[in-house]
Amino acid sequence: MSGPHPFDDPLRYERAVPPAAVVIFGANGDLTKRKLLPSLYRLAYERRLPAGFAIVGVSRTAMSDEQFREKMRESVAKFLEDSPFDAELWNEFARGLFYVAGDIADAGLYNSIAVKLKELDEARQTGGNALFYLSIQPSQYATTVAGLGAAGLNHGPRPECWRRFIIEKPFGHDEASAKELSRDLRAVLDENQIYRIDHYLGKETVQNILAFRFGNGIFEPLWNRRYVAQVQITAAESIGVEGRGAYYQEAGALRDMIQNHLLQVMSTIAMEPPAVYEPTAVRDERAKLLRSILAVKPEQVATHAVKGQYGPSRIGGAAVAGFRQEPGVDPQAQTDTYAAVTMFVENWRWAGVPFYIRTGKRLPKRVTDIAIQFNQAPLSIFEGESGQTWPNLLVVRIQPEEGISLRFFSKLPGSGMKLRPVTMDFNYGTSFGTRTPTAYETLLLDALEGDATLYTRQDMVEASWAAVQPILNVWGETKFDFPNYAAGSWGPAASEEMLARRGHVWRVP
Amino acid sequence: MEVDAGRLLKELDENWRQLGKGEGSGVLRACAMTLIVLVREGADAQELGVTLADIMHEHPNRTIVLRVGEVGEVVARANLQCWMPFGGRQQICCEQIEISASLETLGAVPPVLFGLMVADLPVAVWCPDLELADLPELRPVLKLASKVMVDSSATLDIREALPALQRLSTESWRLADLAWARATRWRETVAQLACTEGWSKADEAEITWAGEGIPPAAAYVGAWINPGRLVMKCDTPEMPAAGVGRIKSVCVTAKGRQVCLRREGTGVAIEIERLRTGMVFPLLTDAALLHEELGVFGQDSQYERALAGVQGVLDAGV
Repeated sequence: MSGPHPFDDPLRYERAVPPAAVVIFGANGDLTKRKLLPSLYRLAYERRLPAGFAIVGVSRTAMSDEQFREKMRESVAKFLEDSPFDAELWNEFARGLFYVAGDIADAGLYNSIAVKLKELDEARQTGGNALFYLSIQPSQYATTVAGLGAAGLNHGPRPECWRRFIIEKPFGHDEASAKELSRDLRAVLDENQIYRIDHYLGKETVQNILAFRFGNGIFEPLWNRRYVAQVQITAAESIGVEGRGAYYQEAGALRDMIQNHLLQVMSTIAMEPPAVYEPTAVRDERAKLLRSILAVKPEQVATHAVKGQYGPSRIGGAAVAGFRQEPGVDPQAQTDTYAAVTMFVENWRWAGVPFYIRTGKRLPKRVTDIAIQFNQAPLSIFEGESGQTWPNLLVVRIQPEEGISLRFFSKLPGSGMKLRPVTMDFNYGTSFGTRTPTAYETLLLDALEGDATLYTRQDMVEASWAAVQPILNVWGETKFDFPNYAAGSWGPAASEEMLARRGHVWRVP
Repeated sequence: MEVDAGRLLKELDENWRQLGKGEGSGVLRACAMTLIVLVREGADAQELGVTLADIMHEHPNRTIVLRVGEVGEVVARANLQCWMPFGGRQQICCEQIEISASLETLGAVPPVLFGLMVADLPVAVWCPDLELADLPELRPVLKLASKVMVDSSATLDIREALPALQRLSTESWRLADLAWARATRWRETVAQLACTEGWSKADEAEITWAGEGIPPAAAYVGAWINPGRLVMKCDTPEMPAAGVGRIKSVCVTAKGRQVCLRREGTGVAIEIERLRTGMVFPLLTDAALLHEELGVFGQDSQYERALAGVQGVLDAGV
């Protein structure tokens, strides 16, 4: 069939999803319970799932279909966000839930999955399509994909059927291991079958950056080195490692946040306009931007990057443990619970504009935002304005409140021309009172539709590792005197000094 | 009393100032369009208020409610509608103006409306009463809008509504009928099934409904599917509960396979050969239907085609 379907009505319909089975490896894990099943249920509630649909949970624990359904019912009822739990709808949804137990290293498991998918193709009319979600340890990716390939599950039973594979981060723990992982995956799968998920890209506000930049004509002319003085990206968490100390001390803030989420956010803010809003075009531009990030030389790491770790403190009268006192953490750990970096993009648009990125745990509040600071007005002509450092600031808020605000000067009421900075706010949640889908809902739906726009491609993964690898190398060889910031503060003093070298200061988000 | 747009806007400004003084964390002024609501004098004010408050959250607007009575001078008043979003710190407020006029004095209203419309933003008219919308006296008001939304389902039978719909569809504005929005979930499901099953033209279709008279939504669906053979019939004379919609079933046969959607309580069962699944259709409140229509501001070619095809459905005999 060529051209749009005569019954199609994109003004009113949601995007159509083809029939499919979703196979979740790690079905007994936290991500499945907290995010994946609640998101799939919510999609069913929104009538976004096709009539021919099934979910197959896979994990080691022996369980019947009924036990799996009951377990998932409890999880969905508990973790569903901003939505009611509809028992009648659940019963309908649960009829499409199935479970296969087995060990990832056992070839028999993949044969069982193949049999189950064949059954579902008939009984649930899933069209021979399957989306595999690998919610398992990254070290198990290669084994699992190899097992799926050996059982012939990397291809559908008929030529028109598709097989897609969602992989969770981290995509390697450094540049070399990222390439090795890619080689293992590509031995079995084509690149266009691999969906590397970065849930930050699924957030409404991150997508809204593209709408804001490329749907309006007035901002893009200002979006360059001529008008922008600096960009600050902040992802702060007020909590500590919350029982994930053992994992976190191996990862650290630079690997856990900056290498993936925040560099993806930076690429969205700084990329060139794609010719069309289509997966390859958008991802090409993101990748191009990431490749344009100037790699820090080893001798520059001390001035371009700051590593921090929080120590014990008292917040609001309560004692807060330092990172090294957290359960499961080595008392001598050199882990970065705070990381700040200065990055430069070597292209005509951004040459010379610093991009300051910081992230950390146990900071004063939970906030993620991007602040684009414009150059000061060239001349101050109003009384009392001289010496005021309130340049125009455009802030894109990602969480907890999604929105955009613009700071500018306004005249103070009364006689004389006294100026005061004011902000003009656009609040995403209140301007559109409707519930926004969670990042996992958006991304799962995209994968089912075969839309990889918001997924990371291997060249993007490698480019972002290349941007942080020199810093990781130097940090790995240096012994830091930790802790160097108190829980509840905005990070180490060295972070302020990093900006002060260029006459800049961190804003308080 | 003479109604003056400048005075009403001044009243609104004063309201904003008073509200700003009382609110420590500020008030957010939200407006994305002017919505003119045309109702008869006796329309239930409370029910209307609930609907308008509901759509305000997703489509913040300056609402101008024009109540049309038999006799009386033009009178008007202005106020603010505010709400606190769940978990929010700031109150969000929208402006609401109420104007009452009679058929004789309606001529004095458009100049007032001109002065009250929000600059540079779209104007939509919602007139649930099709007969009222079709009054020649109201044409100047309708002409202010880029979109006019009516609701033909109140007429119970498309045959009574069609002439007015046809007249209203040839004017400068884009016409929308909430009865068409009542059919969206049915159409969407049929479209998905057509896509999955790989057909683009139906050989046969059968549409059934509840209540006497041909529901406009059912006629629209019939015209939209436009099958080789169409059967349309009443399934039960009893009217369904409010918000459920009158369509009871839509069955389509193409390429030798039949797919059926059947209303079962608040849900809909989907039958494709041996497979039977179900889904929940949302309740069809005025607010939900308006929300859908206010999201479609450009040309709605699917609706235009369906409206043009309704006469053919009737001519074929139901």
